[in-house]
Amino acid sequence: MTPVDWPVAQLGPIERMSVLARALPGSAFAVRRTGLPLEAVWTYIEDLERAIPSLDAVVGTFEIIDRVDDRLVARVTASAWSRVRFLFDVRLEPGWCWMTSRRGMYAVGFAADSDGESTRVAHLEAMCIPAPRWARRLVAAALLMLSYPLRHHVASDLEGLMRGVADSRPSSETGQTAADS
Amino acid sequence: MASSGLSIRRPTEPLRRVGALVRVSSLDTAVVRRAQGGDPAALDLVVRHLLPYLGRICGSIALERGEEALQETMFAVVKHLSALREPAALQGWAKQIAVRTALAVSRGPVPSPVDPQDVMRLVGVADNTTSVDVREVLRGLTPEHRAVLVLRDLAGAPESEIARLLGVPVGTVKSRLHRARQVFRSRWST
Repeated sequence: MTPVDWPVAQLGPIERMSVLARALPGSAFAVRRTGLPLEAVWTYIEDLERAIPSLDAVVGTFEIIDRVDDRLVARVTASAWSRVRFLFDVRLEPGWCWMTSRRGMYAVGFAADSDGESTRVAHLEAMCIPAPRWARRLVAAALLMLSYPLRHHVASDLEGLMRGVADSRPSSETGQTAADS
Repeated sequence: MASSGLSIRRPTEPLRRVGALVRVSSLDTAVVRRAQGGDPAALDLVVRHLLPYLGRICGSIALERGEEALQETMFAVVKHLSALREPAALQGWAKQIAVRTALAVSRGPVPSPVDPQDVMRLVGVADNTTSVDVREVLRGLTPEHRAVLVLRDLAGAPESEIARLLGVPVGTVKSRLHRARQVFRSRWST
């Protein structure tokens, strides 16, 4: 038994996702604040099969094909090319969802945390190109360029998410939303 | 978020043995290499692996600013991860970043640490319980003293490594450690 309980600093899910955003040069990351309760927001997000296609216009279908505890495997089709399928490994925990494509080329994340009376929601999308040591700077520069259009996409997804959460609630309980960062 | 309600209990063994109890298992070097190459799933694993360990270091040195120190540490770790030549050295390398970052954050624009004598007097007043707020005791130390105490008693680092990490002579490490432990022992003996 440890006789001294040392003070422990912890990062909330939003801050943890911001660390991953820093680590991925091809990422777009945004945080929104809403007056809706955390439970309502997360209940909406964790229903991935319904939430992802409704908030992301690029996604046609999102189907969970395997699940062991908090680890899922999802088959995703694009709305424009329904014959093209992607497999994603998903880690789904309360307030945290991290999805990575099987070949590690794309990552999608959602995080939510209660902030007093409001809820903060973060969304990340990233293009990833595994690179050898000698090419990492070059690849990072290219990914940074490619990430600019992703920023609009992530902002659009968050808008869709907020609309979806609000629509899933009785009208008297919907809260105001505001950009946080 | 820094946790609250932290306390120390009267130790049943020398403080310096604590370090061995909080060592974390090493991460598969293949995972670290994948993370270095930008694999997002591996990056998530690396971050998950490091957070509890670095959280103790940052929390114990930077106290109320522990979360800020931890986030800055993690930013630095992931930013420079690809430059780490030996994946097996991840934890020790990250520990160095955490200590330096936590010290820098602690030295920021915050009130000066109070005199250890004041803390001893504070915590010694009308308190016969076996539990006190460990933050209160640590707050009585300078960030440098906290860093030495944390590295020796929490991380189990040898004095020579602490000296190298902090850029001070081994003698300074010993004297800082002695003074830091004095504060704790003074509290426990009341």
